Amino acid sequence: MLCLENVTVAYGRVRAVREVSLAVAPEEIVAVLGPNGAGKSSLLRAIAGLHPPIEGTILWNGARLDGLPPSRVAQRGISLIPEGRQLLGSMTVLDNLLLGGYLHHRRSLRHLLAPMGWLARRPEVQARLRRVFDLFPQLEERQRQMAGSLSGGEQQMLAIGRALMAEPQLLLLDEPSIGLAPNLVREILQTLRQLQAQGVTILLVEQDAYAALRIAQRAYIMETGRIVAEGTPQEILASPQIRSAYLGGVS
Amino acid sequence: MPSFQLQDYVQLFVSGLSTGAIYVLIALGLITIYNVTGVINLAQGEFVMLGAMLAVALIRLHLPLALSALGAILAVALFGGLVHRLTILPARQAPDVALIIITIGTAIAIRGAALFIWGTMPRGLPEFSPGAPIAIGGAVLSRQRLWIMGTAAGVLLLLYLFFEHTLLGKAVRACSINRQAAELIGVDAHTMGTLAYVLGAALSAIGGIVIAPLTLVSYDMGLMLGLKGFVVAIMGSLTRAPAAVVGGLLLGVLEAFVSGLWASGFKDGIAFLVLFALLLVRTVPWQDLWRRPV
Repeated sequence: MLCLENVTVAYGRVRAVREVSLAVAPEEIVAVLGPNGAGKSSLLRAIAGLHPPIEGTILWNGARLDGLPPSRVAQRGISLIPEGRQLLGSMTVLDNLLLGGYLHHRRSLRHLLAPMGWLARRPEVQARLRRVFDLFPQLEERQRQMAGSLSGGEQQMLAIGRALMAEPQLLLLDEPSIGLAPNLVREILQTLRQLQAQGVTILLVEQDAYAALRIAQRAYIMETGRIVAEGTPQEILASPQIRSAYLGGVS
Repeated sequence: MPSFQLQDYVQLFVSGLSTGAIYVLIALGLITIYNVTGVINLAQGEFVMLGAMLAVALIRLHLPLALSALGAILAVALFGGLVHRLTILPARQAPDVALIIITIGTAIAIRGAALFIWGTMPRGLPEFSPGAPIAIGGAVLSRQRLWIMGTAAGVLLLLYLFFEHTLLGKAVRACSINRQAAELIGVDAHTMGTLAYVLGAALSAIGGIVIAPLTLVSYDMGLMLGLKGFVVAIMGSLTRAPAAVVGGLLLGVLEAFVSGLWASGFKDGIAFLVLFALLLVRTVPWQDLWRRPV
């Protein structure tokens, strides 16, 4: 269970997020929607530890997350897939995936210093790779290719796949649809549904509100750093005011 | 002017390669540290000196050479990690120039401490395998030079395997490619920074120990070696290890030829000439020089 209470995030004198409170229940898909610059990404960055809040608390399963560095947040079972995917472009797809599982190996000097080919053949690593390749078969075909040479859609798949290698409980996604063709967006969002069925909790930030509302159980709408509305997709889509004010009005 | 024969050139070439191998080790340490932490460590040469000095000190305690060398490398590696934790991490928010000045301060402090502890008298380290020089293809090489080249080649191979074929090596590289991405997958960038310092210090210490039997060990030997390592690292733009390997060997060979064929006094000037030329080539907007002034 993720719980934010009165979280404020500032960049210099600009308050990107103002006193935001929100909650995500286990195995729920929650979307945070809103226009560009509403503070959605800043919210995710604060949860992931990249930019700690100046006020408020972030609780994860009852323990404080705010103030922890990003690597510690990741160790608690939270994976952020940042905007722009942040892949290691000059490494292969397989290397990116294996590094995604770094958390499982970081305490074993043998795993850290063994040849990576040996590491990749270990049964538990094979099982994690299998899970990713079942979701994204393209990645299996391209595992020896450089991550930077993949298409935009494949890069997004790799970003999600790399995060999954850590077997996170909570997945934070920042604009997964950006720059992708509509059918790819649908495919990736459907994958999130599958992950939910596997027990992963998902907090998703999207500008493409209608796409996100198709898979989310609940949504928050942000504007200029504040949450201005919240509800189920039906409630949000049923409100003409919300639709015209925040979702661009068209369906 | 004495006349030179082919074997003299071979001789100079091979001994230049072995000197260059030392520069390569130092430069690779600098590059590793720079890529992971963003710090240009101008105390790199002091790690070289510490490695050699500690090896001498351990040998004087009647430890065998191999154990002394290993002990010295480990000690300097640990010391490098401490330097990162104590001098770099607390100042990580400081601008780059401040960090560079911190490393200069560290270098001066280490050199001062070495002067205080070991004095100004140069010390010697015995050759690893004493004996008559070995003739290879017309050149006569001291056994120590073979040790230097063998050690450097072995270290390069290990470094390659580490960075290309282990998860930890890839995690260190991930920090230099995209620090944020590395942090998000759970790689602690501070720990990797310390690890880079440990590695960089160990590389320098190895260089210092293998060259010590040829040059004598003194408290200020790190100054010139560190500067040359820096020039070589610049040849690789502070990021490209293969360029630094080639550059380091070239510099060693160039120095050997200048001192062998011309005058040994000019030897140390080469590195600075190269540095000067590189900085000029990299920073002067050459294409603009041809444009008509407006």
